Amino acid sequence: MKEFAKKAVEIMNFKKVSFGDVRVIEERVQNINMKNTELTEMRDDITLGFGVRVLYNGGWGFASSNIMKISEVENVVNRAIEIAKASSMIRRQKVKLAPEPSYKDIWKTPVLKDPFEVSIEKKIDIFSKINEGLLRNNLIRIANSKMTFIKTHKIYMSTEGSDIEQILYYSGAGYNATAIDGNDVQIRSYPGGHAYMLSMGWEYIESLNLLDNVEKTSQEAVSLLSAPPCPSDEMDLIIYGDQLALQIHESTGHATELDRVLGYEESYAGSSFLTTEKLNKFRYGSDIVNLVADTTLPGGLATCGYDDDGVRAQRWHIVKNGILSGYMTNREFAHTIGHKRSCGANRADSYRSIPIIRITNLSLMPGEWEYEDIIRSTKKGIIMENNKSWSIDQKRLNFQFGCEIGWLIENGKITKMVKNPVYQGITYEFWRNCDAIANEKYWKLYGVSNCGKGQPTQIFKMSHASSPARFKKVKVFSR
Amino acid sequence: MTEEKIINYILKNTKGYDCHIILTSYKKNLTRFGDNEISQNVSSTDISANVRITDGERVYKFVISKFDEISIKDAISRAVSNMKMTKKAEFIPPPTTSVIKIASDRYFDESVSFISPLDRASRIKKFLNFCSKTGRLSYGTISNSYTVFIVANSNGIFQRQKETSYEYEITVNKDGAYGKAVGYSFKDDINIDEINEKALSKSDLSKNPIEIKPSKYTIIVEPLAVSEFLPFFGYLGFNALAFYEKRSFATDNLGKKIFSEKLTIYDDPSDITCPNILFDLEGMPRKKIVLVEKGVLKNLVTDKKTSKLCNMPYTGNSVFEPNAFGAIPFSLLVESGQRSLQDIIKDTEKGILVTEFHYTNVLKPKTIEMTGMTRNGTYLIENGKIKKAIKNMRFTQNMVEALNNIEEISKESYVFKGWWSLIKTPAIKIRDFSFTSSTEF
Repeated sequence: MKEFAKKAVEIMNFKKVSFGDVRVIEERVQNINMKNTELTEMRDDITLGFGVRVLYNGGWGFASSNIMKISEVENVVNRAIEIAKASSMIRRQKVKLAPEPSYKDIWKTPVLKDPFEVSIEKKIDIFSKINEGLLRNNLIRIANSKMTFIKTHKIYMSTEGSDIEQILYYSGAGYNATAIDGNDVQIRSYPGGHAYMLSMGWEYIESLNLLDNVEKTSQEAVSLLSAPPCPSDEMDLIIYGDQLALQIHESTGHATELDRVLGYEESYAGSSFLTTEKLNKFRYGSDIVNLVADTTLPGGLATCGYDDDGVRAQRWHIVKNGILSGYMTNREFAHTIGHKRSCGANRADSYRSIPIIRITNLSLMPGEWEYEDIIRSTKKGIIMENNKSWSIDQKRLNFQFGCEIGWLIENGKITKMVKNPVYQGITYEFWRNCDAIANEKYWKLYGVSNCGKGQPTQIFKMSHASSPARFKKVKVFSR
Repeated sequence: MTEEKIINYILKNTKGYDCHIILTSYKKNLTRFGDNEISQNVSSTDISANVRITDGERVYKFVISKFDEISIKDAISRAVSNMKMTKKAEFIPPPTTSVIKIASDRYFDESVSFISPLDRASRIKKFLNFCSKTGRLSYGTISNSYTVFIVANSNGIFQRQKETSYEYEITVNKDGAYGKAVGYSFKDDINIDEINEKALSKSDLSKNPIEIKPSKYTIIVEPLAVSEFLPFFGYLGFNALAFYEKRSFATDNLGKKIFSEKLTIYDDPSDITCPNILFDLEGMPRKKIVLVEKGVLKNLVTDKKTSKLCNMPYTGNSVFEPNAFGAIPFSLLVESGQRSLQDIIKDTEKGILVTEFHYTNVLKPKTIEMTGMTRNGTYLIENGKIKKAIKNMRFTQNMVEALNNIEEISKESYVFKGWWSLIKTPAIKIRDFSFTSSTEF
C-alpha cells in the first residue's frame, strides 16, 4: 500500500501539481443480518483501492481506481490532473489551502478486543437468541438483528510531505421488533434506529447487554399496538439518546458545515440558515446550550488521528453558551471565516470519493440537572424515544421527527405510553427553548452511521453525545 | 483480466458449488458546480464481483475486488471456510437456468463514454458566466458514465449489458428565488440550453414569495417532485415481501381499486426512453409488469423467494438473493394523460404548483404516510394562472390516499434517476393534499 502512495506522490511532484495527496485504503467489512430465524446476510469482504486529489492551476481534480497496478497509478494521477485543468476553467479564484504542518505518524483506534477475532458462530448464536426472544410474542411478525464490523487501514501521503497511516475500527450491533395488527405497524429498536455503532472493538458489543433488552423491546412493540395516539398539542418535550443525537445531527451538525453555508452543497442536500456573518453573534440556543465538535472523543465514529486533508484531530465549540461560535471546516474554506487553520472536518467515505466537509463528533455538553428532577418539574410534557422518521428543510430550519414511542408526563409524573409521536419546530426557536439538560452522569455517546451528502453521494459516520434535555412549548402530534 | 476471463476464473475455482456472479465494471465522471464555479470534479474506475456460493445446505455471499489469480483464489477460499461457519440456510435461491441469453448494448452510446472533463466544463461555462454577470448563483452537476454489467452462474447463464448514462441538473438562485431543472439520457442528446432556460424562468418566477397558511390544497406535482415520492411505493408497496409480511398497502388489496382510475403504473424494461437493466440480479430477463391499471392494484414484483412464499409467478425483480429486503421494480413508469401541464394549470381555480420535494421520509409504511418539504419553485395558482411564488411548506400526507385523489395527469412525461432505477412520470394534479407547517423562505 505504501509503495502505491509513494509512487503517486512521486508522479504528482514530477508533474508539478501545486498540491496533491493520495489515500490508499484497504477496508474489511463484516456484516451479519438475521431476519426472524433466517440468516439473510453473512459477509466478510475486503476492498482495496486508491484515490488521488490534485490542485492544478487553482482547480481540483480527483480520480480513483481499484486496479492495483503501479502502471495504474500514473493513469489515475494523469486523469486527476486533466480534471483539475478543466476545473480551473471555471473558477472565480484559485483554491488556496490553509497551512498545516506535515506529519509522519501512525494512529490506531484503541481497541480492547478485535471484533474480527470473535468467531462467526458466536455472533450468529447471539442473533439466534435475540430473534428467538423477540418472536416469543405472536404479535411480533418481524425480528431483525444486525452486526457490523469495519477495519479501515488508510495510508495518506501528500506532496507537502505528510505520511500518515491510520487503522480505524468500527463495531456495531442492534435489533428491532415489528408488531403488526391489521393496519397498525409498530416498531421498537435497541439501542436505537440509527445508533448501533461506535468506533470501538468487541468490548462495545459486550457493553450493550444485547440479550438483557430483548424482552422489553418486544413487549413495548406489542404494547404500542393498543396504546393511544400521541395527543396534538403544544407541550414540553424531553428527548435523549438516539433521538437527541439525530436532532443535533440534522439541526446543528449539517447547518454548520461550512461548504453548505457557502453554497457548495446547494444542488443536493441544501445550504444553511447559519450564514457566516452570524458567527459569534447569532443566538442559536439558550444560555445552557453548548455544542462541541471533537474528533478526539474516545469511541466517536468520526474520531481519528487526522482527517482526509491531513489535518490533526481537534476539539472546538460550535455553539457556546447559546451563541453560534464555529463551523465544521476544511483547508479550502477555513479562510472564508477568517481562520488560519482548518478544524479538520474533511473526510471521504472511501477511496472512491473526494474528501468533503462532514459533521464530526458533535455533542451537547451536559447540564446540571438530575434526570428525575427534569421529569418532576414538567407539568405537561412528553418523552420521546428512538427516531423513526426524520426530515428538515434545505436551510435546516423547519424540521419534523417521528419517534418509536412516547411517554406522557402530567404534573411531574410519567402517566402513559403513546404511539406514533411526532414533533415539529424551527431550529433556533427549538434550541432557544432548551431549559434543562441532565448532568454528566447521563451523558452518553450515540452513533449515526448513515449520513448522506455530496454528489456522488457519500455515506459517512459520526457520533453525538448528550444527556437528556428538555425543550419548552414544542408542537407535538400523532402520525 | 478481461471481464469474461474473471467470470471463468471464478467459476473454475468454485467447482463443486453452485456459483452465481454479478460483475460490475464502470467509469463514472461527475463535475459539480456551486456559486458559479466548479467545486468538485471526479472520476472513478472500479470493478467488483459479487459472488454467491452454495453447497446445497449453506449459502454465502462475498465480494471480490482484486482480480489477480492469487487474490481471487484467496477470496474464494476464505468464503468457503466462512460458509462452513454459518447456519443451514432456510432458503437457497435455485440457480437460474435455461433463460433467453441477453447481450445488450441497447442503452449504450459510445459518444457519452468519451465526454471528457474539458467537454463537461465547456458545456456549462457559458451559462455559469451568464449567472455571474446577472447576479445569479448556479449549482448543479454534469455527469457521464459507462458501465458493464454481467450476471453469470455455474449453470451456464451469462447475461451482459453495456450502458451509458448522461445527466445534467441545475439550480438557479437570485436573492433567494430558486428554480431547478434536470435532464437524463443514455445518449449524448441532452439539450442543456433548454434545461438552463427552464431553471432560470422558474427562479425568476420565484421572486418575493408570499406566505400562505398550511392547510389542504389542490396541488399540481411536477414530474421531478413525483419522482421523489414514487420510489417509496416501489419498495414499501409493490414489493411482494412487504405484502407477505403484511406491511404493504397491497395487503388485502390486490385486485382492488385503491387508486384513482386515472392512474396506471408499470415496470417496463422495454421502454427505450426509460433505459434500464434488461435482466434482474439473478439473471432472469425482465418483462413488462402492470402494477396499477386504472387505479386497480394488479400485480406485485417478486423474486425467487417471494414468488414461492406468495405463490406468485417470478417476475424477474430479484436483487441478489438471499436478502432481507425482497423484490423491487427496477423502473417505474406512470402512464401519461391527455392534456398538457399548461392546460391543467389553466383549469385550476386555486392550487399549488410544486417543482420538487425535499428530504421526504415515511412515517407510516403501510399507508405510505410521508413528510417532506417543497423546494426550488413553489407557486400559487389562482384562476388558471400562476399568481405568485409562495414560501416553502412541509407536507404530511398519506400518499396512497393522495394517489386516489388524482384529478388529472399531464401529457408530457420525463425521465429521472431514482435511488436504484429510473422513473418516467408526468405531472399529477391531486386534491386535498395536506401541508402541515411552513418555513421562512
